Amino acid sequence: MKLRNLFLILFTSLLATTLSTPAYALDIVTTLPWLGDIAGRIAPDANITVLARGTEDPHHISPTPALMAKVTQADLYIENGMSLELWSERLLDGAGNAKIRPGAVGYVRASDGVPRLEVPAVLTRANGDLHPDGNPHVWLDPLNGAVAADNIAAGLGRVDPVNAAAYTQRARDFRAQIDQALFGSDLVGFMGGASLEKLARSGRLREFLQSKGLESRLGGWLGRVPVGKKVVFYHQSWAYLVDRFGLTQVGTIEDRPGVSPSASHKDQLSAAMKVAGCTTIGVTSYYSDRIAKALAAETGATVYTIPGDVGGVPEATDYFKLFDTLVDGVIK
Amino acid sequence: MSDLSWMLAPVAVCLITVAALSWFGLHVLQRGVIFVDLALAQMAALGATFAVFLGHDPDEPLTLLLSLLFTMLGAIAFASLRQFEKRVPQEAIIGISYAVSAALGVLLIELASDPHGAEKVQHLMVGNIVWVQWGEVATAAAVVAVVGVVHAVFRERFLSISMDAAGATARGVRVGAWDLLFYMTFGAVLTSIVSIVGVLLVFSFLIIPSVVGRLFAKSIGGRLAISYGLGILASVLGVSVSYEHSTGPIIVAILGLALVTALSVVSVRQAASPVRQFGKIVGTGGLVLAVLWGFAQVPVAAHAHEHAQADDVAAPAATTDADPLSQLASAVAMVRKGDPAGLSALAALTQVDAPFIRMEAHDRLTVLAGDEAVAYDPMKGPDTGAWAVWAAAPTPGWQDRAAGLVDP
Repeated sequence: MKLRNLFLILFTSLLATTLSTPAYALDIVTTLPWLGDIAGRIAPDANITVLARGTEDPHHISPTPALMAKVTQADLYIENGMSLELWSERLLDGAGNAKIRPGAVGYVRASDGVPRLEVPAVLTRANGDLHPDGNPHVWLDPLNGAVAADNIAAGLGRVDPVNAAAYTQRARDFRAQIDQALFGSDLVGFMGGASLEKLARSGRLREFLQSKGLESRLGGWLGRVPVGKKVVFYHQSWAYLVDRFGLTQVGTIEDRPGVSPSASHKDQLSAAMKVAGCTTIGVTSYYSDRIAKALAAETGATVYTIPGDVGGVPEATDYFKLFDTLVDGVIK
Repeated sequence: MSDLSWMLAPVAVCLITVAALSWFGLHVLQRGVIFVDLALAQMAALGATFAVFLGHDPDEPLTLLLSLLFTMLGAIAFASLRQFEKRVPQEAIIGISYAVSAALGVLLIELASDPHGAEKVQHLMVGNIVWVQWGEVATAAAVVAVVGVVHAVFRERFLSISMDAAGATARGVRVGAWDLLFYMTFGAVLTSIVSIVGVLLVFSFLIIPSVVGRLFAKSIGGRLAISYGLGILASVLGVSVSYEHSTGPIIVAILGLALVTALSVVSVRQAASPVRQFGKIVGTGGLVLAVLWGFAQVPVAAHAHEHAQADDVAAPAATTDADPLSQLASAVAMVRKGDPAGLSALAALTQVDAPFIRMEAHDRLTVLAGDEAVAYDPMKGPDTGAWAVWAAAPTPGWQDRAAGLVDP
């Protein structure tokens, strides 16, 4: 009887330790490359699998059976959400992994808590592939990357509670790095990242710095972008970049998302570009630049092939390099 | 829109396309190889994908060359497989070539180390004639001109093998060689046109005018004349009415409407009782329109997009601790109201890491303290507690001096 109790205690304590501290490295699956990059910073020892490539349109991905197997075994599944990965629901159904279903502990929607842009007031399908939850390309604002890092750290803390504090600390470090890269380390040291983020989120950053005579101390990515830089993009996916960097978007080549532009739209856009003096056209690497080149020939603008995500062009190797490439290649 | 210059390049491309494809359409219909253009276009795309797979850019001349080479390989395959025509229909071989080259294209894109350009290759098949450039028009015109000369010189030979291959063989014509030349020239024309106008428009320009031509004329010249006429009409009409819409699909719709009209005219003319046949056609058309109109009257559901999952609802914004700048603003507001808690809040802000915040708090406390201001340099480092001591027993009259505070 006593021996049995001893075994029972031994067994339950063994079970408890294996449950609380995974002896193996965590298996993380993320839908998009930027999520994989940030997850790797928060959980450096985890095995990370990324389903989409930066050179692919994130709306349309068909994962191979090998990737499907990774989803079946995953401890944590991280997606962007907001109806971007239309293929994700079918994928999770097929994988049959109860740990990572939406609402389960191993599921993270990285865009939770991000202030949303372009949320439609009325839902109709008349405007092409409109997103009911707003524009889903949230990662093109570096501050949203920091929010995603918090969400990922929270998810990691749920599936691996022993290391929760370490995940939270790494997310905090990541936010500090983002602040320094965005505003410049001099200004962050002087004013503090939290205050700068608050000002940037409320759209009053440049106005505030001007009133305090601190304009010249703005460094980082923001310091390199001229105020109101005029750009034309191919697809309506750059709202968050436009918002954060105070760009003036003269128009998009696709007048409605996913619909081939008509002759009237072409004329209006080329006229608007000439009036505004816009000389920059950015085309995400997975779209054809044929139409952009025709427009450039008409207006004298330059066409830039730009990464839509980490890995979209060879130079954009991680989340920070993504913005280095965007800032130095297009909007500088 | 008074300026019609935007129409010039698209119409020019259409006319080049019509000039080449009406002639080829005549042969393709006669030979019964209706879908050969789709198969050859798919092979051109496969060639471009292969170039990208090797690491080249979609715009490079080498890519175009490989595209042409793959089309030529397709041409050789079609020409040499004609000997099996009795046992295996040509259309079967064409369909197989289409499917296999499309599948190989998908696999090559997957295997490519840099799939960046491969995505663009898929756009080869789409095309949009509104955005055509004069350089592209010139290239297509040059290819069509060269092919046109070859076909003008040897038109009798080409016609004889398309109309009656067995007879031509009997007369000693080398059918295999001429077939090869036919498919090669056809492939060259397709490679130069498909990426501009898209596969949908190529197929329609190839087949529809030729079918209408066959309905009304027996002679080759008559058929060609009708083909050209319809092609030119549809191009000019289609481009000019499409200003606000997608040009390619409108031209295809016009061609389709022309075919339906032509079929109706022929069936009325052939019928024993033309009036009854006319009534039948009008009646059927009217019935279809009435049914469609009926469906259009069904009210649309008010909410088109249903959220099945409750967790789809936007989560509240992550609440972060108030930032120092906001704390400063609320401290100033408290001080203005005469709340001494605002003083200790300001004093606490002289102990944060950010010099800017310390400076802003120190400046305001200095105003409030008047003569008893603490001598402290906020740029050197956090205050060691001197301001906190002052805030616990503030200099009398701070409430009056609070009016002089500026908003942060």
